[in-house]
Amino acid sequence: MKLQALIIDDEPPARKKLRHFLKNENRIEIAGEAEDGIDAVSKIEELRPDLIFLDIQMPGLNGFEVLEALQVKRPQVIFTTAFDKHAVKAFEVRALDYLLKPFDENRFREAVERVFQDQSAQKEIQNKISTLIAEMQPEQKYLKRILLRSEGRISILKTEHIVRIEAEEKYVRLYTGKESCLHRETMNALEEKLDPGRFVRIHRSQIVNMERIKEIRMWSHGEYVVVMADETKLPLGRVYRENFLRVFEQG
Amino acid sequence: MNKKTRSLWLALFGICTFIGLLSFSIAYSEGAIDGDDTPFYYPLIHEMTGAYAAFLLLPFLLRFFNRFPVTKENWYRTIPVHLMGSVVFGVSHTLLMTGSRVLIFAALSLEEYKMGEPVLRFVMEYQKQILLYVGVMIGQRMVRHYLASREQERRTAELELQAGQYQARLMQARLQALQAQIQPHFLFNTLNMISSTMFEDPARADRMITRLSTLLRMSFENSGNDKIPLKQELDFLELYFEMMKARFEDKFEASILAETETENALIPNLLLQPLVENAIKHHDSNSIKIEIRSRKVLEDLVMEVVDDGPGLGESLPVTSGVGLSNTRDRLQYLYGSSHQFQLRNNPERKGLTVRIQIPWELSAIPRPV
Repeated sequence: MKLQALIIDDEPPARKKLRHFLKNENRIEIAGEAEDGIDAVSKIEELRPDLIFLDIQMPGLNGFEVLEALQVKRPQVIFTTAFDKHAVKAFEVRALDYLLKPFDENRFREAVERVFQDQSAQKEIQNKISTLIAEMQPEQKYLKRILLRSEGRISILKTEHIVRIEAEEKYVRLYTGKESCLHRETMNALEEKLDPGRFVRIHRSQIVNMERIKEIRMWSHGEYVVVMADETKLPLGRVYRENFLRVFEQG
Repeated sequence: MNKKTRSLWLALFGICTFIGLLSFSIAYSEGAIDGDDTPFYYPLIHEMTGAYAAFLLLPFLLRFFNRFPVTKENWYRTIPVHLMGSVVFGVSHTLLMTGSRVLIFAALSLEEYKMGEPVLRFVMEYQKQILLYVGVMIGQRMVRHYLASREQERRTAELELQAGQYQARLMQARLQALQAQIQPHFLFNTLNMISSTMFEDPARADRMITRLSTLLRMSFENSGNDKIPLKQELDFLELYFEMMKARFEDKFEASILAETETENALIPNLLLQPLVENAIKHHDSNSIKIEIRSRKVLEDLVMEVVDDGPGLGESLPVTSGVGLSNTRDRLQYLYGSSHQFQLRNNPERKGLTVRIQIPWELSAIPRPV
């Protein structure tokens, strides 16, 4: 059986060139193409290719972010890049192969041959890629965006647009004002990744965006109710009260 | 009273106390030499009342000196004023001093204080007081002079520091303007596009190589901080856009809306290109639309780079981008306060508008481009 390959690049001529070189490679069949990072994630999850040609610099999600976002087994990867000192250095450090654009057919074949190496070599490459992905996401201390998947569609939600988060069993529901959407992640796992100065737990099943709070009302017996910008009223749980008020006062 | 003036007055009080004690010590030892057996507290009270009476009058004295400073130009007017001033000071000082002695002597149940022959007393004291008067005047002048020169030094040092920082930033901006003409990323992707085109349309690939060469040549020629006619920059951008369109096909759209009369207006070379590159770099989608506009507004040239990217958001570091801060520095250096550089989100649709307003300047001879 032929290897199924997906070509990922935001420039049509760059994809065309890969297609052209792959014509002469009868061990590989082109399963499809993706024209940006988000498209890439959904195509990989849908087509489950064995191999991807992955461009690094793309709008939306870059190549490393695509790999990180995958919820299916990671295919084999041939990285392509035109100029990215940062990425190239990372590849060099790990002796990972990558194609520098423009590349010729000989160089292309060389990279493809590695895909057909033995299993243990493949495993080692995948391990290197895993550490690489972890290392290429250093700058953001807290989660800035969430990849949402719904009925085969993938979209990016910036965390700053979230008003509040509600637990729904093993999922969470993200409220963004008028709309809400379900996201497959547990409340605790998500809370850990969010900025604790901005997203604060106020109840076992509620996290709120501090910037979207309209007011806090005090009820009798020291009970508080948090009123959000969209007028939702949420009770402030006793256990969470101290921390919430501390963050709130720090503004 | 702020902290500084308080400590100043404390210091003056200390000085007066010191002078009082010193005078007492002189008077007492003088008495001892002559075999005078007056108890020590008599000269102590005398000298200390003299010193503290002067301290109490100091604020008036200093204010008076401020009001009538003696200079080369006004000495014939101010010296008589100070002669009268010194008399008033002398009389007040003697009254204060003797008055307080009477009270203190009475309070301590000592024998009654005698000021002696009043006229003689005033005259005798006045001879000392005029020395004091002139001494304070000179002292105040010296302190003022010292403070002013120190302030001047500080200001000079500050200016030098600022100038140094500014110079360093400018050098960096110049350097980057030189380097930023063509980003390597742009160059290699364009080469990749050409190499892909070659397999199916060698003639087109050939054309692209020629265009790319023109683009590179223009960017090598326009270096430094020379000013060029806007038309030249727009031609450069035209070529740049053409390469981008070849790379992204229908996903990249760019248009140039320049009022004809603005084409000969002078702008710093490669002013707009980094802004275009910045817009592309920060774009969040793979379909990009960029618009360049220029028009004359009164005596100014206004240029705008409009994109349809994410715009300014709370989490977007667009404003701090190296490209934009370089542009800001260059404009500041070339035009000072007579330019404007603004970023704002498009009012009706997604995206950012970068607006530059600079003084209208025409090239002497419309250059053939």
